[in-house]
Amino acid sequence: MASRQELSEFLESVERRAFKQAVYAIRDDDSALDVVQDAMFKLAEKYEDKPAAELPLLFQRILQNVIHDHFRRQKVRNTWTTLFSALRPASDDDSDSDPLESLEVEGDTRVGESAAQIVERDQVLQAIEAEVQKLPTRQREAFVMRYWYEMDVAETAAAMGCSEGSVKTHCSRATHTLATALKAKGITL
Amino acid sequence: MNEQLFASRIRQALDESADRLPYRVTQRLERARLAAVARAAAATPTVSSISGGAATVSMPSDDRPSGLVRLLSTLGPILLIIVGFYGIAAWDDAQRAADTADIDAEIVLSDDDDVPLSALADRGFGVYIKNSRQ
Repeated sequence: MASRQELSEFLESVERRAFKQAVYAIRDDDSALDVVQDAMFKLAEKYEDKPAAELPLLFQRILQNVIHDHFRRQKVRNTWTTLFSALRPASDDDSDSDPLESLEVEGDTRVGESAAQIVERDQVLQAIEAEVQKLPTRQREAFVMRYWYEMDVAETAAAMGCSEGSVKTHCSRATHTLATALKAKGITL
Repeated sequence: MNEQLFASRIRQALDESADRLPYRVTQRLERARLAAVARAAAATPTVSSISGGAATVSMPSDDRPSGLVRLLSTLGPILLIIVGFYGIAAWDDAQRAADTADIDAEIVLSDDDDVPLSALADRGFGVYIKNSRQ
């Protein structure tokens, strides 16, 4: 049974990757934050009695389910939005929004790097993330779990609900797709 | 470059990207984590079965009802309405047939030939026959 300390440490170790994983799937920061929070709550409430070793696999499965739930709800919401959008007035501008509210503050200060190096590195990271985001859903899930979370093939297969062979195929295809796309952009790793 | 090496380079890049998350995001994640741990503390422990065999990982299932239940809950009311309409139509047909049968019987059994044929064809004649029987 995982202690509160173990649970907290586990969540701290995966929260950033989980957020990124959700962003790759959903492509919206706020929704991704909601999804990660929801997954954390479900893990804490329902599976706190599980051993700490099982938490990564359980969390992955919960996160996948919550992301799929998000898409289902979004589909229903979009149906109604499309239905009623014709009734809304055309003047739907954001004149009331405050630009200061959307201004991001750069949290980290990268000492010792020139502005050009920082910009260049940011561009490379953005390009890599964009290509990861473009991967087909199952390939991306397999690649992220297998190589970013460093889960083994069996664990990834259990989390994805497919065979180990499928995981290997997804990972291989994802790797080749990424390599080809990054090479085309002139990015060398 | 082989697959493992390439994947490790990608992992490094993704880790670097995750470390550069905006402050707003990291704060929100921290708050979510603290709230989740607090919920774990508040949650009552569930009964777990003890088995002597090899440890197994039980996967979380969806909390939603199964597909069949959802399908039935959607189609059930629709089927009920269709069956209701069919029942009403059948009952109405039976009523019409009974009325027609009453009129036919009245024609056959009647000794009075003064009733014109147009009167027999009139729908109100059936009502007249029913009332006259009562």
